Amino acid sequence: MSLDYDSQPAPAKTLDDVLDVIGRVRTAIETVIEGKRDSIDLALIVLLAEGHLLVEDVPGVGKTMLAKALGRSIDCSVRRIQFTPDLLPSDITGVSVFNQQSREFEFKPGGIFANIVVGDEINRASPKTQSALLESMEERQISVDGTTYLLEAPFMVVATQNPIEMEGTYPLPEAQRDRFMARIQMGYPTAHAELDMLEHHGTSDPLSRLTAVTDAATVRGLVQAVKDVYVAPAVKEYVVQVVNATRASRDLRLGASPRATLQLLRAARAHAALARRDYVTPDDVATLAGPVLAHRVLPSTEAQLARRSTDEIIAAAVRAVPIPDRP
Amino acid sequence: MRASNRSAVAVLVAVTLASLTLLPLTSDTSYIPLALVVTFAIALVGAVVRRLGLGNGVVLGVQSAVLVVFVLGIALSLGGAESNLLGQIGGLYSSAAEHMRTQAAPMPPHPGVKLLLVTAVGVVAVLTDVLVEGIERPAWAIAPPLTLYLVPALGLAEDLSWWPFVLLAVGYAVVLLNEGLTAADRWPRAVGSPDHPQSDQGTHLGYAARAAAMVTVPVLVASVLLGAALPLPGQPGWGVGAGRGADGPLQMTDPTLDLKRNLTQPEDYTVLTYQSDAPSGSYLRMASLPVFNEAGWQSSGISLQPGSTLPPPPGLTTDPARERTTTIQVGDFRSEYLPLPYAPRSFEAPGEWAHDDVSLMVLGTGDNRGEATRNLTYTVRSVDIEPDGARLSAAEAGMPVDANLTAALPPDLPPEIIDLTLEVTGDADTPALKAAAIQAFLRSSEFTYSTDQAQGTTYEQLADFLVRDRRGYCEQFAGAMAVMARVVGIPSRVAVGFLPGSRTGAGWEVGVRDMHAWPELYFEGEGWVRFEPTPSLVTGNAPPWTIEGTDPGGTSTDEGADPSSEPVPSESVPTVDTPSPTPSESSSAPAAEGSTIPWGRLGAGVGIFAGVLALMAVPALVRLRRRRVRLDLSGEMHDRVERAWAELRDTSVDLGRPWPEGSPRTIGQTVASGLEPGPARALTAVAQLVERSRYARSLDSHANVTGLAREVLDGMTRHLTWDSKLLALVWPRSLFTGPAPRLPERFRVWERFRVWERLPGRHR
Repeated sequence: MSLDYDSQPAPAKTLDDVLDVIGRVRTAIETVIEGKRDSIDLALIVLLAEGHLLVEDVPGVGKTMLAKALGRSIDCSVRRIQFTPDLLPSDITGVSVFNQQSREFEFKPGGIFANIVVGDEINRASPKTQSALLESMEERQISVDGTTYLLEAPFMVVATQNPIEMEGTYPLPEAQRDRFMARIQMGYPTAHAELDMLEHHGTSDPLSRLTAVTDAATVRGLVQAVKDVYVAPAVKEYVVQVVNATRASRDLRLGASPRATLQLLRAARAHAALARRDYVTPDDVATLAGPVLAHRVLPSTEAQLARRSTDEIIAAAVRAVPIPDRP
Repeated sequence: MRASNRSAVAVLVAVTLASLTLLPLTSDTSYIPLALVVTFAIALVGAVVRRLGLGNGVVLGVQSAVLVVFVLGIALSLGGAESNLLGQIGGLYSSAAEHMRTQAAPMPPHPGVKLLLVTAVGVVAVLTDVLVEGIERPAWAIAPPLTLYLVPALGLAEDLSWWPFVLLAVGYAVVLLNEGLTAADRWPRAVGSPDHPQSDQGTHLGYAARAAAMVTVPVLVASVLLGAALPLPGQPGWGVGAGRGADGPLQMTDPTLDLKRNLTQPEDYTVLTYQSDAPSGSYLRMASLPVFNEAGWQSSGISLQPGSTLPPPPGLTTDPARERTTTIQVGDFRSEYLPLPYAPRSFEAPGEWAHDDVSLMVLGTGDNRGEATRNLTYTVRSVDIEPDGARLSAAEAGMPVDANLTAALPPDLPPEIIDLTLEVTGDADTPALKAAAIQAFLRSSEFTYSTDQAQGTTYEQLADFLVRDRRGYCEQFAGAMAVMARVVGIPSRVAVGFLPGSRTGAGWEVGVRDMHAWPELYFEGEGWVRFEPTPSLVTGNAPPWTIEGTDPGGTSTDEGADPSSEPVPSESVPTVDTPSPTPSESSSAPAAEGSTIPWGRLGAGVGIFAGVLALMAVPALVRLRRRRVRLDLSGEMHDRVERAWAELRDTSVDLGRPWPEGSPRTIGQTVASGLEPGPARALTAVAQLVERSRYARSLDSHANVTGLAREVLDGMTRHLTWDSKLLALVWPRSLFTGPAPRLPERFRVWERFRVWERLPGRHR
C-alpha cells in the first residue's frame, strides 16, 4: 500500500465511463430507494468528488438504507459503525493489541478501515469519539501508536444524524460539520414512491438482492477522470464570489469556510461530469451551493426569528451573484 | 381594444369636443382641423410611448415636443414678416392677444388667434392625457377641457348657447365611460372569473355606460335646471324697481346725463326692439353734441324744422351703400330724442316731432315731450353711412356747415392732450389714418373700460383719462377721440344713442346698458362718419372702415406703386372710379399671394418634417448597423459567439420578449420555450456554444453560429404583426435599456469609498 492516498493505482477512465458506471450504480441504488433521485445523485457526486456525506433527517426515511445501498453496489469494503455514547475512539481507529505468540503489538483496525463507512447516528457518540472519526475523514489516514495507516481509496464516510431526538445527543459543532462535503435531507417519499415501496419491499430485504455493479479501482479511475474536468477562471471566480456572498450576507452570522470553497468546486466538477460535460458552468456551482454550503453556515438571530432556512438564505445569496458572462 | 388605446381615443374625443366649444369666439373655423390633428398626434404619441413602457416624464416630454413642432409648423405656414421663426411666433401670439382685446366675438379670422387656439387645444390635450393615462385620475379630466369652455363662457358678453356645454359633457362622459370599462376589465380579473370573457365584455360595457350615465345625466339635468332658475341678465322682473324709470320723466336737455346712470343700472333690461330689412343691426342715435369747451361736450341750440322727411346726409357726395327701413318699438324708455339709425331720411312716428337739418336729430315737440318715446312704435327709412375704407383713408377732413362749432378747438385745451394726440398720430399721413390711429390707441390694452369713473368730459377729466389713469366709459372714450380728432384738424362731434343690441330671432333687442356715446368725424365727400374708440368688450368690432390694419395697407401699396398719385380731393371725390381700382387691386393682391404656392415655407416645412423623420430613424439605423456587425463572420470564434448571443438578447429585448437573468443555458431554455421547435433547437445550440465559449477548455471553431443565430432571429420575428416589427425597428429598446457602459476601473473612484461596507455590525 502506497503512502499517498491520491496515488493509489487507478485505471484511466473517461467521462463516458463516468456516466456509464455511475448510471449503473444509480440504477442499483434506485432498486432499494424509491423516488429519491436527487439525493442519490448528490451522494454519487460526493463519492466522485472524494467528499463525505451527512444525511440528516427524521428516522425511517432511508438514511441508512441509502448509505448501505451505495456501499453494496460498489464491490468494496463497507463498514457500519453504530454510534453510541459509550463508543470509544479506538473502536473507530483501531487498537494495538499485544500478541502473546509473536510477542509483538499487533494493530487491530477499527471501523474506519473500509472504503465506505456508514456512521449511524453520529451525534450520539461523545465528542471525543466524533473527533476521532472526523480527523480521519479529513486526513484519510490513521495514526495509532506512532504508526500511520493509510486508508484505501475511495474513502467515503456517510454519516446520518437525527435532528428530532435531542436527548442524550452531542450535535456536531460547526467546525466538524464543515468536514462533510454535502448534507442531504432525504425527506419523505412521495405517495407514489411509498406505494411502490410497499409493493417491492414488503416481503424481503431489498438490500439482500443488491449486487455490486463496479469496484473500488474503477471508482478511483472515475475520481481521477472527474479531476480532469476543466474549470474556467471565470467559474473559479464565481465560486469564490458565491462563498463570499455567504460571508457578506446579513442573514448569516457565520459564512462558509475556504474549505467549503474547495469542496464546492470539487462537487461542481463531479456535477459537470454527471452532465457529460468536460467543463464546469456556473449552473453547476449554483445548483450545488445549497447542499454544499447550507450545513456549514449559521443563520443570524433575525433570520432565525423569521424562520428562514439556511437553504433559502444561501439560494438568495447565490442569486445575488452575477453569472460571469465572459471567459 | 387595449385599455391604453381606448383611453387615448377617449382623450382624443373629449379634447376635440372641448375644442369645438371655442367656436363662439371666432368666425374662423379653420382652427378645428388643425386642433384635431394636434390632438390626434398627441394622443397617438402618448399611446405609443406608453406602450414602450416609458415613464410619464418621457411621455410628457415627447408630447410637448410634438406640440412645439406642430406650433412651429403652423406658425411657419401662417407666415409673417419676421425672418426669425421664434420672433414670428411671438409676434403672432401678441397680435392675437391684441386682436382678442380689440375685437368682439365672433372675431374675424386672424392667423395669430388661430395659432393661439390650436396651441391652447394642444396644451389641453397634453394635460388631459396626463390626467387620464399618466397619473390615472380620469375624474380630473374635466378640468383642462373646462378651461377651454370657460374662455367663451366667461369672456363673451352674451350668454353662451347650450351646445358647448353639451359637447364638454359628452367628452367627459366618454372619458368616464372609458374609465368604467377599464375598471370593469380589471375588477372581475382580480376576483378571478375568466370563464366567459366574451359575455363579460357586454356586461362591462353596460356597467361602464351605466356608471358614466349615472355621473353625467344628473350633472346635465342639474345644470339645465340651475340655468333656468338663476336670474339671467336681460330678463325683467329681477329687482329692478328702484333703478328703472323711478326717477320720473327724463329731462334730456343733456343726453349724456342719463348715459352714465343707464350704463350702471344694476340689471340690464330691454328698452327697445327693432326690425330692419338690412342684415346687420345698427347704432341708434338720439342726439349729438357738437360743442366742446372746458365743461366738456355740450349740445347746442338747434333750429327745429317740422315734417317727417329729413334733408340728405350732410357732406355725403357718393350714393350711400345701403338704405334700410327700420321699425322700432320702444318700451319703458322716456326721452325727447327719437332713436334713429344714422343717417335718417324719413320717419313715421305718432306724436309731434321736429328735426334739425344740420345734426339730423329728431325731437319730440309735444306736451309731454320728455316722455315722447315711451311705448312708441315707429318706422324710419335711413341710409347706412359705410364709407369705403380705401377711399376714406385718402379723404381730406371736410368743412361742415356748423364748422364754427364742430371744428373749433378751445385755445385753452391742456397741451398734454395735444402732445399725446400728435404723438399718437405721428406716423399717419391722411386725416382718416390719423383718426384710425387715435381709435386704435384708445382701443388698445392701455385703456380700461370702467363705469366707475365720474360722468363728464371736462378738460381735467379728459386729461386724466388720456394721460393718467386711462380708465373710463364710452363718454370719455368718445369725447377723447372727438377732441383728439379736432386737434389733428378733423371736425367732430359726440353722438349719444344706443348700440345695435343683440339679435333675437327676426329682430334686435336693445338693453338699457346698450346706451352709448361715440364720436362722429367729418370727412370731405363722406360726411359724418362714425368711429368707435370704446373697447370691443362693450362695443364689438370697430367699424370696418376705421380699422387701421386693413386700410393703410391699401394706401401704402397704392403709394408704393405710384408715388406721384398723391390722393387729392379732386381725384378722389369727383371721379369715384379712379381710386376704386386701387382697393380692388389691393384687396386682390393678398389673395393672389395666398393662392400661389409658398415654396420657401413649403420647403422649410418639408425640411423640418424630413429632419424629424431622420431623427426618428437614427435609433433604427444604429441598431441595424449593430446587428450587421454582430452577425458578420469575421473575428475569433469566441468573439463571434458572444456577438451572436448579444444580438439574440437585444432582438429579444427589442421585441419585448423575455430575456431572463442567468447562465446561457438557463436563458436558452426559457427563451426557447416561446419558439417553434426549429428555432428553439438553434437557440439551444447557440446557448451551448456560448457556454462552451465562456467556460470550456476549447470551442468547436467550425460551428455556424451566425447561421444558427439568424435562424433564431427569424423564428423570433416570424409570427409578429407588422406594427410590432415596425415598433421594434423604429424604437429598438435594447439601445436604451441595456447596461450602461462601464467606466474603466481607474475612473470608478466611488468604489474606493465603500463606507457602507465598513459599517459596524456588518459581520458578526
